[in-house]
Amino acid sequence: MFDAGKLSKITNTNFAGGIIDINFSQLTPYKAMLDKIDDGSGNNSYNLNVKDVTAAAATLTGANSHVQTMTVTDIGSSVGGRLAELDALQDGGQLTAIKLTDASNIINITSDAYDASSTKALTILNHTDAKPSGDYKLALSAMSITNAADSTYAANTDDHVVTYTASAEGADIVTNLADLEDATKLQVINRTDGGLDGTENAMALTGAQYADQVTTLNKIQTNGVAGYHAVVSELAADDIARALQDRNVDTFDVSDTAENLGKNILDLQAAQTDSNAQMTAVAQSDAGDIALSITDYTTAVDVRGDKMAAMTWNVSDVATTDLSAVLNDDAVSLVGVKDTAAAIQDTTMLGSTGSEGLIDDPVLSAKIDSITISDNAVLELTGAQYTSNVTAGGGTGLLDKISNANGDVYHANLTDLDAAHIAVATADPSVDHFAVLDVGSELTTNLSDLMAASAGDKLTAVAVGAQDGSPTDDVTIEIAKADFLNADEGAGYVTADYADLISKTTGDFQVKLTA
Amino acid sequence: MVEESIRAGQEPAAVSEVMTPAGALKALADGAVGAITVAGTAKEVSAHLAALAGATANGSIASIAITDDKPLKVSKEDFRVHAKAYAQVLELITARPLQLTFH
Repeated sequence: MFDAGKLSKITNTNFAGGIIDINFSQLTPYKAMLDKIDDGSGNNSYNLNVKDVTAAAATLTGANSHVQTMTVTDIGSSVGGRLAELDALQDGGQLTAIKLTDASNIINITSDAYDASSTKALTILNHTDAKPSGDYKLALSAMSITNAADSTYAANTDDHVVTYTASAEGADIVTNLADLEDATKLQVINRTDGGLDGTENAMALTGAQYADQVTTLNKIQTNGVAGYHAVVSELAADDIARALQDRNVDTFDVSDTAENLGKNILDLQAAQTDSNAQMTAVAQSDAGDIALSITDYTTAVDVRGDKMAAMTWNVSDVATTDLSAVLNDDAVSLVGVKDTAAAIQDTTMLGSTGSEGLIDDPVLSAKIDSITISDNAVLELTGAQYTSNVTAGGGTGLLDKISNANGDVYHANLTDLDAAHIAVATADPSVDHFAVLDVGSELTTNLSDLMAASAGDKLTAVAVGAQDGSPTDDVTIEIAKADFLNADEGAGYVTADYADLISKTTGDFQVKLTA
Repeated sequence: MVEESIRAGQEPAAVSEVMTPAGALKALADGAVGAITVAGTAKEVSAHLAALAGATANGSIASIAITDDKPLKVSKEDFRVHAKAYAQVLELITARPLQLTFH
């Protein structure tokens, strides 16, 4: 065993260039012996290369005038805690290597420490044969929000940095939101201006930011607690439901197209009636009516009457029983009716004489955009209902808007059709069959149409009488004798054709054969 | 008279006098030949119109006069079924204008 007490001197014969390797653990035990080194001139001169110095002891070791170089060996947390000291030693040339004993563990340092050390201690941190650029992992804290948002910033490109946190005021977070969305290493953003309870300086977010920067917004903490306060402007209607559930959002106003407002009308209604009263306003970003089903129209009564009061509506699937109320809503521009054939043919819908129907009012009628027969059944209409509501008959045009739910044209049977509209009904593909009621003079006037209809398969019967049912003497149908008695089958109608018509004719009537 | 000649077993003779619808039809049934001129009230003609239509098809009726201003009553079904024959008999009716009621 070495006994320093018996050794009087060690002469260092190559002080100028020689260096003594020593482990850090040997430095103190060997101090007495090292004090006996003499350079031949009576000076205690020698140079040491101290290996495996702990991070905590590095600065003190470096202060030893004999220590020319050293290496540090320690766990990552210790290295991180002394990084500034190690930077100085590296920068001064004494520290030549830092070896980690726990390379798999993450070293936590501040962003400032990272910036300072990136050209110093970190350049010599745990370089191994397997990882010549250094085998270590860093987690940075308190990074500036601009650095975090800068994809070219060192921490964003350095593979050693696995995560980091940033700190900023709300406004700066908002400014950098889009770029922060790409900062995949960013774990937490600490808001610094939220006040003691975090409610101050609510961040002003656009609806687009709120929708698109979800990942970043979810990283925000205020006073160490996840969350923030924000006021969202021009929120998309699709995001209303999320905002209603999001306690980070103090208030929001909505701005969107008619299509999207309509699609999200139930969320708008929910926001209108929500006790937190987050929604402050609703704006439509384009022109046109907002399309709603009758169910949604009814449900959304509150928001329609308040924040959407200036908007106009296109209401579909309206049953005839609801039609009056919907049509008389000044905010409703268009109405799509959907009901059974029986309901649609009701007199309150189509009128019975052209002046009694609910939508004989031209203003209200004009609002009817379409009428769908939900059961695809055949309409049973009076002639008056038909003629007063079909454009070709000079009516409101309401019947022209009818179609079956299966996409087919509607089908109708007509009773008591007046003779003047026989041609219209004959040409109308929606009319399956019709029966005529009119006085003799009208039947005479429209005899050619009547004969054409009789030759077809639509005319089922002809009654001679007044349209209003009153007694009449006008019961004579005048037919040219030459036509009526025509036996030439190659020339127009023959007697058999007239006989066929007469067989369909009822009532007390006469045929007068004229010259 | 034709009816008397027939009863007497004489050869049917050409008829030239005006006969009632019933008489004309009987004469034709008894074998009379020639074109018969028929005259009768609307009621009488109506009652025998179907038979007269059949006779007309054989060319045995020259004309039919309606002696009052009443309309003829015509069966819709008969008219529909025998339209061509009816057209021929109606053509022979001299009333102007001819009025028809259908039942």
